[in-house]
Amino acid sequence: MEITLNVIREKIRKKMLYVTTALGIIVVAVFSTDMGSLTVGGRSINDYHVLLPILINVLNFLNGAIALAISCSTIPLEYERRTSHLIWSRGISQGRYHMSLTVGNLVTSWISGIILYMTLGVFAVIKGYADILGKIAVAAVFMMLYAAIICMLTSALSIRIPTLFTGTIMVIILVFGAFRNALNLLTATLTGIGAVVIKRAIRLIPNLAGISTQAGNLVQEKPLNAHVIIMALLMIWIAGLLVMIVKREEA
Amino acid sequence: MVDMLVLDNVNKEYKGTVVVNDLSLNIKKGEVFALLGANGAGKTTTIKMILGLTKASSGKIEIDNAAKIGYSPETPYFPEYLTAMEVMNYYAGVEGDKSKKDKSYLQSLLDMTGLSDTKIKVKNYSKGMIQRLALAQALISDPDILILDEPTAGLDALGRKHNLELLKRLKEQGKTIIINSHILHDIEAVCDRGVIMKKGKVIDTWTKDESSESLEDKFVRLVGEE
Amino acid sequence: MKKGGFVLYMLLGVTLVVSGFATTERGLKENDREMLYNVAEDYEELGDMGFKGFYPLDYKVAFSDSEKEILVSYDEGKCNFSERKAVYGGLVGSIYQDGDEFEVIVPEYDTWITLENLNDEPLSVVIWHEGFHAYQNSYHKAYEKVTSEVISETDLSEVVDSNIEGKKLFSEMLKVLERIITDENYGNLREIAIEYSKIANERRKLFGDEVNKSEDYYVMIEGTAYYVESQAARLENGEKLYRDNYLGTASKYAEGNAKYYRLGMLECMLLDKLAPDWKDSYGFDRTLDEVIEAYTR
Repeated sequence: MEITLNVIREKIRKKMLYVTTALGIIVVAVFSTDMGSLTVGGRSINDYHVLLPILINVLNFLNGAIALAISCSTIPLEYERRTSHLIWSRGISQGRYHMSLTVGNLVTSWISGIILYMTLGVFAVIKGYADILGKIAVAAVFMMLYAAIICMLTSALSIRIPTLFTGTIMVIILVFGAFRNALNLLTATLTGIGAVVIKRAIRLIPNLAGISTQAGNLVQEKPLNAHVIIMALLMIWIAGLLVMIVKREEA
Repeated sequence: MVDMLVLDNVNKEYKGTVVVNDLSLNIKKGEVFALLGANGAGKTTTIKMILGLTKASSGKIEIDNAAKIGYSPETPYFPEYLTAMEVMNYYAGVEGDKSKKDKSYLQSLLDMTGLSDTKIKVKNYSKGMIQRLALAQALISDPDILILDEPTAGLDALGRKHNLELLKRLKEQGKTIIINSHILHDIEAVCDRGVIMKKGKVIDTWTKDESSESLEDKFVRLVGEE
Repeated sequence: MKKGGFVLYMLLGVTLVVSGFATTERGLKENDREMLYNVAEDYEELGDMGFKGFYPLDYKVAFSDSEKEILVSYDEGKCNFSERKAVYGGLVGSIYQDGDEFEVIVPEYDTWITLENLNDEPLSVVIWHEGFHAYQNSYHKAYEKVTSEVISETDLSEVVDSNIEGKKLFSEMLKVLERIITDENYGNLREIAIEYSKIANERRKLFGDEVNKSEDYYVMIEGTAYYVESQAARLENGEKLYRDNYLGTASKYAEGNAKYYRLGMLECMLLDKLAPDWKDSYGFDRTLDEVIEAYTR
């Protein structure tokens, strides 16, 4: 618990969190102000009911990037500063130590995401769409799933892999996961053995786009795909297991 | 006297390079023991193996079952936005023993190491103050074995004197202390005995008041030959 | 983690894996099924659009993920389906002949949705388009009549799109036809048809027989399917998107085959106004130009 709280405290003090959160607020503000003639499906994008699924996608992606930035250096930095010496020497297992740090990353990412969603709520009220506040609150739960996948995978990778590589791998996973539908479309045009391999590889990428789509479906009162949600939870479970079992040779 | 710590033919290799070679030690309860040697002699690796921060490639390390260990690293890092009390509170929490989170208990440890003003944040600490804080946090569990890596490095003369006195007091309390230090005067002042290591091997032992040759002369003779 | 906690964690994992398997969509996916319902619903409104005997769901529809397909027979709300290896690789909207039957092949919804977000074309509308090709072929044997004389889209494009005079005249043809959809007082339809035919005939002189026959073929086959598609899209997407995506682009010359789609659609729209019952006697055995000319006499 102390380790987790310390991570949260440290991250909140970092300027990066504020910069990225401010960026998110700007995104919401820009989308919420007059977008001129931009339309989606023939309806004005200024209509918050139309805008909400798009903003959910954008905010989840943005918060995913924040989660990545927050998570990729936490564990390596502990070892770099040798803070780990004072934890290992107290008999704390690596699994517990890494999980405590990961939960700290996770809670911080959620705090950042909640700030973004609260901003969305404020703009919705300003624009006269107070009726969708409940939907925004429920959509935030999907943001938490999204951030958890990124956060826990990043943390798990960062135990053994250098920060730069972890960051690179996770940026690829984040972008490919967020644009998985587009990736499916692109690979659907491919044929041959190579295409089969690529398609199989894509299936291993977390379906982040699917999570945002489910949130969008929920706010638009469309049916949810339980499979996408369960697979997201399974991905978090796998990442959690990795955080607990991947070990360093040395503190 | 009871053996608190026994190292039996301990070896450590890193990618084919032997850094600790067939090391055997018996450290008794209440003893202040010194690990001596030049940089790269294998002292820090030995400490890391005792603490479980790295595994021995072979050999046995036995620590008395009930013994609690406190550790003060050579280059400690504490979050700079915390005060000394917050750092103590944090590590007391990590220990998982609620009784150790008692504020007056933690304050007494800070007082003992000369960090009475607990409102100053770590970012305003000198290297010596950080060293003292490292020592204070090592004492939280009321350890039976205290492992100190360069405990007087970076301290001014007054700070060094204070720390050495503290170590003497801890010895009087019956604590077993293992010190890794370059400052041989300090070793002579507080340690009972020790080993001099070179390239991972024990090349000689040293026992206080046993020889007419000073530790410094002995050290230079054995280690400074290269 | 303590042993009890670890056991609980592993149990949670097993539960998630089992739930994952249990919720995996096998066979016909719900989104794809929904597309068939949409087509059936559209049909209640649109009917056969004058093309006697046309109903897109008379033909089996295969939803392809480019590796495997779910082949569905739709029968009054019931979907009977089977799985098979994809008959075409890649992302395809097409028809496929299996014995005497023609089947509609479309991408599955989960793949198509990304494209739909970009082009506003629902998958159900693609089913209408491809379903019409299946109809042309099974009901009118349209392909059998002309295929051997038609040159490929790429070869045709090389000849046609490099001919400046041909492009100019094609644009003029589109402009003349555009009047009937943009100008409320378009005037005398017969005169428009005559003017159109005159330019069309003039343009035909620029090319050889092979090119003219190929163009006629694409206009007849793809133009009519595009016309059907546009009416389905109008119903599903509403008037504004119909105007933007179909009428708004209809008179623009496009390199490649798209111009034939547009021209064919406009020709059908002219014929709808010129002779509303023109489809009754049309069996894809004459070019649309010939049909228009016949009504100008």
